[in-house]
Amino acid sequence: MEKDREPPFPREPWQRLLQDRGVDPPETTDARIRAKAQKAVAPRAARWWLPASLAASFLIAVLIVQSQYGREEKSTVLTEADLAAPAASGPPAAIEDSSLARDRAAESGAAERRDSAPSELHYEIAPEEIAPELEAGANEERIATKGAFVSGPEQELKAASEMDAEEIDPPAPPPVPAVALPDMPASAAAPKIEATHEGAARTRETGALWSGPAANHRTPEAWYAEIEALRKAGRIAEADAELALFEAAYPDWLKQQGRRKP
Amino acid sequence: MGEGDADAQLMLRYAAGDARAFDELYAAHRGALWRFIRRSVREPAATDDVFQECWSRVIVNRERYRPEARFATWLFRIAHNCCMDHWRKTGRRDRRESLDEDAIAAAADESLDGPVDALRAGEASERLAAALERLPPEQRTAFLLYVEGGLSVAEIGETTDVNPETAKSRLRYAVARLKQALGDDAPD
Repeated sequence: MEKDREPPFPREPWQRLLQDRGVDPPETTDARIRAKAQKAVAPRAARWWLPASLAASFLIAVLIVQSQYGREEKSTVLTEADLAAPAASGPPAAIEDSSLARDRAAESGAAERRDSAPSELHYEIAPEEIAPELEAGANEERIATKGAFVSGPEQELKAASEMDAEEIDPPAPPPVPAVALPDMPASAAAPKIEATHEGAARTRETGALWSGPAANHRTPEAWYAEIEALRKAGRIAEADAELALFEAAYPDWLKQQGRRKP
Repeated sequence: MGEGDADAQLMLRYAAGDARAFDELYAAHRGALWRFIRRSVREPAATDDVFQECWSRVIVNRERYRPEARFATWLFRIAHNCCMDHWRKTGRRDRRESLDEDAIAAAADESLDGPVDALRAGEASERLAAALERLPPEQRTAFLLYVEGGLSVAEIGETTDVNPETAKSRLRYAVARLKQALGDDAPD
């Protein structure tokens, strides 16, 4: 075996003779082989990075859109603090009283409560549960009180739509002081309560009820009939206010239907 | 054996994903491998194809490489197989194999009686190349694996699937004929 390992003759002189011919692979071949070698060991994840990121973006977009639609269709949400108010089940003044009571309670133990984590409970009322009551023309005060409990995204939308309506309809509802919820920071709670009270006041004033999706889903015909009914009942101011809202929601409906203003 | 081989370590690094290791390996072996293939297939147009095929097999089989043998042995074995595949496709090897030893010897002798101008010009490398082409393929392969690939006699036997004695014999015959062709210009 050792004998096999011994070189039978020196390589170097022969190598010199062979290399004198100066033959080497072309540069294009070199480049092609090197590129192939690099491509073979390129991280596979990189190949999938672009499609994977595109798929992830699409998925996120779908989830966002779904959550938005879900929120729109979701029923109204009540807070635990709001739930205490119906116990009074009194007229709107009772709401203000309970608000003041909450105010006092908030002042007395504000620091303690602010330190504690928010424990807001949400109660959902399906639109179908509210709508029949509205359509049946239930007790106006009771409904007005219920309207005050509306909160969450719909409540914010309502507040926004009311702001628009107020631009059209000058008579503003009586201002209600902002109230801090006992279990929430004042800055976060104030706008919500204020909007809620505005909603209630607005409801009391106009008699037109906003109670979440049910109201939004009124057909223009039904709305138009309600306005006519209000006007016939002699509630002119309410009818005008409703008409303004109606025209804002359906600007061309009267023209298209060839109807005149009720 | 292979563990201490620097080329084997480079190959292992490349198999692990280090592209630079391949560049080093390629730079170290490209010239010798090119010359080996060029003189084995003896067709300039086919040399490039076989050369690329050889490196492609190195790339594809990188994870199968085990440093039990020297990298050069593994590389030139692949190159030898690529040449065999080429000969199978073209049928050229068969023609060469059909030549008997006398014909080969005669061909080698012819080179001695080659153009006087070439002899006088001392273009030994040209005459060596010509003599190489006239060698039987097995002897030429053994010689090129020894000189270009740097393989030992045992490694040549392993690469060409013959026992070391046969490999040594082929090598001895090849050198004798090449020396005969080169005459005084032949290395000692």
